[in-house]
Amino acid sequence: MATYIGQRVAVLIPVVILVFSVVFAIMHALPGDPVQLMLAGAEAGVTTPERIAQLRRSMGLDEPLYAQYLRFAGHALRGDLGQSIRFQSPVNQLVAGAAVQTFELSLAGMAAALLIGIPLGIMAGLYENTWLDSGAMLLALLGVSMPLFWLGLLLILLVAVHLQWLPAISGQQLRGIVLPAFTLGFVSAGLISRLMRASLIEALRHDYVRTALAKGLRRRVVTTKHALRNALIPVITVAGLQFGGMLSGAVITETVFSRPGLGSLIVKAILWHDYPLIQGAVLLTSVSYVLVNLVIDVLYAWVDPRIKYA
Amino acid sequence: MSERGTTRRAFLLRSSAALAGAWGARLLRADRVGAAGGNLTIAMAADAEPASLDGQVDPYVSAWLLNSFVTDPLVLLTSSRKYVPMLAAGWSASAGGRIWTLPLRRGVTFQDGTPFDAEAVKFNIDRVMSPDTHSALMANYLGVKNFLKTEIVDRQTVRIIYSSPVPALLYGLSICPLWSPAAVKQFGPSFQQHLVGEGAFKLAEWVRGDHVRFVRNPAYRGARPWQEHDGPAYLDSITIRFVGEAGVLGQILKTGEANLVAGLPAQAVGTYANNPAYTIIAGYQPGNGMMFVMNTGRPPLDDLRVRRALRYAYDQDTMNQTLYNGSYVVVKGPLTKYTLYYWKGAESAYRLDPARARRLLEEAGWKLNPRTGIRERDGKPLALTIVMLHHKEIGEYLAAQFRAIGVDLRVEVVPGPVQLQRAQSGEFDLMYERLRSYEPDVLFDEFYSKNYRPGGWAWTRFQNATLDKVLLETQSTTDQTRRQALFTEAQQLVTEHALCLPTLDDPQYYAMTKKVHGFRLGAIGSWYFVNDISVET
Repeated sequence: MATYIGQRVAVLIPVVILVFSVVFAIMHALPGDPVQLMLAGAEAGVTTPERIAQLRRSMGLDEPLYAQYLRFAGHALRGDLGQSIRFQSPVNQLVAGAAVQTFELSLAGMAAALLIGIPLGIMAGLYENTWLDSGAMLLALLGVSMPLFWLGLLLILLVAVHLQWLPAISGQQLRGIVLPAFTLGFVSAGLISRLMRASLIEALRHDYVRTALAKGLRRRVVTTKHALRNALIPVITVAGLQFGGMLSGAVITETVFSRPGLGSLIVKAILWHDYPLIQGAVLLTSVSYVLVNLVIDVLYAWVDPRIKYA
Repeated sequence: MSERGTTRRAFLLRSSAALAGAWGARLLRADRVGAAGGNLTIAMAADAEPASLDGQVDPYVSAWLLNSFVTDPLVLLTSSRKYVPMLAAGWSASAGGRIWTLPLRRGVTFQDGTPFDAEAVKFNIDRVMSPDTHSALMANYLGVKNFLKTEIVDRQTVRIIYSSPVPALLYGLSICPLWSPAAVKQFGPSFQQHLVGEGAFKLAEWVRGDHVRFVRNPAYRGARPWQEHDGPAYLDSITIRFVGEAGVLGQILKTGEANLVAGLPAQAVGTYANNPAYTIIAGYQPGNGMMFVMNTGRPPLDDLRVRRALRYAYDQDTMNQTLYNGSYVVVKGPLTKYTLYYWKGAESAYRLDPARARRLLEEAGWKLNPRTGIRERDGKPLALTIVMLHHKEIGEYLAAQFRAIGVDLRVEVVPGPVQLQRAQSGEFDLMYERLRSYEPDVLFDEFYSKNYRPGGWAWTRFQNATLDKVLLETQSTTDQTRRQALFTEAQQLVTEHALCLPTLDDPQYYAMTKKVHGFRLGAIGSWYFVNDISVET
């Protein structure tokens, strides 16, 4: 297992280099100059070409592209992601601050998704074709089809504005994460519950379940110890992908609940052509994505003893 | 009683009234001081959060506003639109506006205890001008392109020397924050997290994307000429919360998470307007308003008749009523009426006259194709592209109006970087352009032909020797009467040559609970003063 994990971590290096290079190329191919964008304040004032050149020089943007690439890569290897053009702050600091917020939200969102999705799916699977199944799947359908921002706004209106139970602005308090986590989790819960249901129904029809029941094992034990464990494998795969998606794509939830996260930071960085910030943020998200997938693969082995990694 | 003569009775009455007034004012002060304190939470759009909290670097008014809590400027632009000395004890311009001498107020110290003196002012101005500071806009306002040096005349007098005049320097000085040199050196690149000025509030913390918190500076001794009281502010603290979604910002007062909303979305105004528990205040913006400049560098808008036809084809008042229930400000010239040296003549220059618009297009050779309803010339339809950033409905409204005269207007909404790229490459017919400044120098930025280049704003590509001459003179004239005449002429020329489509301007709305007292707007709609604010607990 240790060798396998080592190999997977080693795969990170080419993946990160590839992702970084593609992002670097795309960003520099896009029209727009970060210095001019930085100078394009909404309050007027003409800038001379000399001043633009001066600023470009002081930010190292006048160097050839390969030199900029190598400089950034060299600094990144030493753990320094450079200085953001737009925010005039170290990229490390900006990305780390936002990543913590996003990680917190994704973790809470995933917890909400699993806590809602798995029991709902199990219930639907066990009571297949009953009103419980229909009710659970209706909820799941709502989850997968409801736009995130709409659900978020609806919850804010109901829970924060009318009932005043929870804050509308997420903020730094623990209670502030409840609504965004539920919003983010509810959508994933729809997918997870549908998959859980289908997977459990399929597992319950397998021969080993019939054999276990014939041997006289209680249905509850057969379901929890045998069928459920097998049925969880595809759910874990999807949950892992969903978690990866949350890490890089929680931007809508972050915006609705006013949370400073990685998603909104990347959007701002792209809009302002803030090369160092985009590169730093993408570096972090691609590493996170690969690591999350690694954790999922390791979890497979834990759930299904038949899976062995050499 | 004559105007000149004063009877004893009248004198006594006046004296009593004056005494009562003074006593009342003192009572009011005492009452407010007695009620001093409270914590103000201001909600504002997350988009308005400064990228850098250091206004010497950041180019947006929101940064300068938040800085004004922490530090006073050298010169103050009052609510009544007058420049008055603040940390400068006065100012004088010599050598035709090339040399500015500023004596400074004595006995002022920064929040870290270091003295505010000529050396500190020189440090700040030199810092803004240095390319290493990456000052995006403040350097422009302080006249970087003509800047030679800052000189210390004596401990309390500083002199700024330019190679050519900087007539609008006072506006720059009124928004430029002044920081403690010791703190700037101490905190280096992270100074924006540790702002140290001499103002009424200290920066307590900034959690990026979430909030900024300021606490009262009890040692503040500042005196602002029009304020209700001198010395420390009433409030204990101010917290700015950044709200990501306009819909949430519109409802946030009702949740109790804020007691003031700055920049309330227009669609939420109705929520509070008729509710006695809240107060709504509208702040109006100087500058262009939502203006669309015309690309005169390519057909069909290189033809004055076509440009004028467009001006006759729509009416801003109807647009305002139709789209915003009349809540926006109608703009009929290149400047809003809240800008210095606004020319009123723009209001009657073009009135809705579709028949005249059609005639002009006919004269220009654009004949109506009855099959499509769009005019054509040499087989080419009269199709225009309007590029905008937001308020798409304005583009759609214009499209509907222009269709009535046979012009096909296509609306494109693009992000800011694309707008800049399109503007510089000239790939547009009508382009959203809106600069906001109390000084009318935005006209020079936008219509002086040599400013059509990277870093410039003259996107119309219009070349006219008279307009250029007038605009160029505005940049070297310090005499205010002459400046007014020049800017008036510039507005007339821009209007006469139909270089832009002025439309509307969205006011900056503030909503607050009735417990908030002492809120006062500045000279520009997005500016307000906090030293007199108190919040009932």
